[in-house]
Amino acid sequence: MLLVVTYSAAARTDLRNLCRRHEETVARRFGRAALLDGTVYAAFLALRLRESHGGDVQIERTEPFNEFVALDDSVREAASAYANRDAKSTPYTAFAAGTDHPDPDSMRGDEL
Amino acid sequence: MSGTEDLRDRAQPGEASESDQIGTASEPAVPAPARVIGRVPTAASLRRELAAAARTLGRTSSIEDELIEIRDAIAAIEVEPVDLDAARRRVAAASGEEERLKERVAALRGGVQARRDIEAETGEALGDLESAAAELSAAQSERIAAEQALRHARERAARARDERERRLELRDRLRNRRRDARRELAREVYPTFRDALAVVPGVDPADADTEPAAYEGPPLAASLAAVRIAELDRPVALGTEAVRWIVDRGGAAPESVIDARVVKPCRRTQR
Repeated sequence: MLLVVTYSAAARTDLRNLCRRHEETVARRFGRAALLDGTVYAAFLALRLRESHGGDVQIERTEPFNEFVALDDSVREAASAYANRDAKSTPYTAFAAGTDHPDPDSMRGDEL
Repeated sequence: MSGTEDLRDRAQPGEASESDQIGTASEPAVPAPARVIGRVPTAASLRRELAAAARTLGRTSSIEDELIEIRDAIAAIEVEPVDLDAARRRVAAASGEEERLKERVAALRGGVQARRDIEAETGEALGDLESAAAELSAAQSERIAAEQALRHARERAARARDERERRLELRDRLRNRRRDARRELAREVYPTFRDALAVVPGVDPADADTEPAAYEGPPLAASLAAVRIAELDRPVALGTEAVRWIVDRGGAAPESVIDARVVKPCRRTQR
């Protein structure tokens, strides 16, 4: 899908109008951003917006996230274990220390 | 303050582009009064007209300093232009070239193999393969360099977007605070405005009630009264519609109704 983000009032207004006029193309609307479906037509609409507003329009392509493909087991397990921890006030770094759970810094350095 | 009243003041045509202009040139913190009420019909809401009139009388809102502060903060923002377009184009071209050469190398390799299989002479085919392989290696380097350049451009663009985002937030804030200022000024001059309505034909001052949101008279009459209470140093451009409004309702001289010099609007500058 395409994520379109606007950075000026005029671009924001035009995105709003685009969403209103092309509801079937819009997967989700946020304040000054929208998620469009992954069709050539959606890309065409997004490009038109950028042609009008240049750097005030950002277009990114998104892909579905599958944690079973993108991540090692340990990361998923750590997320689950931390969400279900007993002591709610324990920060993750302390929670992971001395266990097999991955260290935040090592995860920060790893590309998905 | 009711919700509809808010909408009425907010939904101005061209508001978006207007607020994008803020701080781009030497735009003032509030628009010059003549730009709002220098021409009738004004294409502005009653509050905008009244606030503009109030400003010609030397009044300023209590948040004037804040408006100037926000305007200056907007003007101080510099957004670095980043050419992502060229960087993306370069990656696309380099990737395409790499693919093309990969296919060519594979075909040439097949050709060499085929000649070997029939024990034909391979010298020339090997030479072609070698030069294609060298081209492919250069194309791969170019693709990697192009991707790296795009990555750097994206990082710069992300920083520039932080600035764009901050500018948009400030512009939104300035627009909201300008509205607050207009509201305050409009309320201040409202009694004077209501008195002025008595001189404008086609409106009953009773329709004005006690605050701008409650005004129920014709918008054109309100514009004329707003101009009347203003101290404009230039003549006011009265459109045919406005002149007819006055003439058809008693025939008073337009100058005496709006208490200002009158000119005909110049078509070319009309928006």
